[in-house]
Amino acid sequence: MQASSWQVYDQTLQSRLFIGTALYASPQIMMDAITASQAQVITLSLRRQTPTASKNGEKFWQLVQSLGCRLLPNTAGCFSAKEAVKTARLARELFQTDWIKLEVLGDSYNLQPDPFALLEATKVLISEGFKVFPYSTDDLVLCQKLADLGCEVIMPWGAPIGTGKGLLNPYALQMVRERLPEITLLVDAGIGKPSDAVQAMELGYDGVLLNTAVAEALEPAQMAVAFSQAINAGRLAYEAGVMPPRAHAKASTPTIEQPLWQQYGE
Amino acid sequence: MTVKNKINMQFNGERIDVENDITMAELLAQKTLSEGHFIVVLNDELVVQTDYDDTVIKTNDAVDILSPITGG
Repeated sequence: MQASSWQVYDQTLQSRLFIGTALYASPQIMMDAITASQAQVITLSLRRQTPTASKNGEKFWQLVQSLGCRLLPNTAGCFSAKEAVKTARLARELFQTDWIKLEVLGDSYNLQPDPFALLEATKVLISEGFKVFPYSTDDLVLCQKLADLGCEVIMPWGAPIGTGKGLLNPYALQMVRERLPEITLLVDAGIGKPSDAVQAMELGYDGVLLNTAVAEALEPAQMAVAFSQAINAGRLAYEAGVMPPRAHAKASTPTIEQPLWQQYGE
Repeated sequence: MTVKNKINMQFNGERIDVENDITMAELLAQKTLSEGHFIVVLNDELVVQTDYDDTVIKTNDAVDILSPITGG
């Protein structure tokens, strides 16, 4: 059974997994993993050519095109709003898309988004017609301000990029979900295990963006399937409605007409 | 025979000498970049393909060729 389809800006999607194209041991392993994931959106980036990168870049581009996925270029590595805006404009030309995964980093150790520069860059890009996918922290006020600027999609982190620590602050993520019910939310970064993705989806997140957890698995294609199924399971559970927890036990087997009750009862 | 003067510029981060009055189209041809998926940036500004023939490289100009790469 497949969870419901969903809307991301102008695109209707079936898969709720966005997957990155980086860190795979080989192009073929990347292709196998992305295909196995059934993701319909992939992230990628742009860089200045070097003699080696020139050849590899062209091959990469051909592979990407053969996947037929929607492209979500990022502004990875940008540490200022100005740099991120410039990179986004170039990405729009290179990839012919107004979708941009907006990363503006504030700290080089944990790659934490700079909330102030993120808002600044978001404002500029939205005024230029971009469909912004901001990579943000799980700070509720920041997410509210991104929504106020016109972001239909917001992507709070679960944990710092590449750490695989899972959802470090489920409470904060839940608050963002509850307070921004109209916004499409994806957990981006920090996902390590399929169970982390399930947790995000059970919180009501609309999707998950990940890369390292699949690329650095011993069997990336197999892990991609695991994530695909986990994300679908988490969404199905959310849509089905999870039972409220209670403090005390409640027998699930009926006690009426229980045999031998007179003999062993009170 | 006319000998064109050389000018010094930056191409993909490296200093190189090119012929004076060279156009972007000629520079890209010299670098065998007539095909492939890339964009051209001159002094941090995008140069669209239709302007390649009319864009003349000047001393100390910086030209960068940007291509798709993997990303997360």
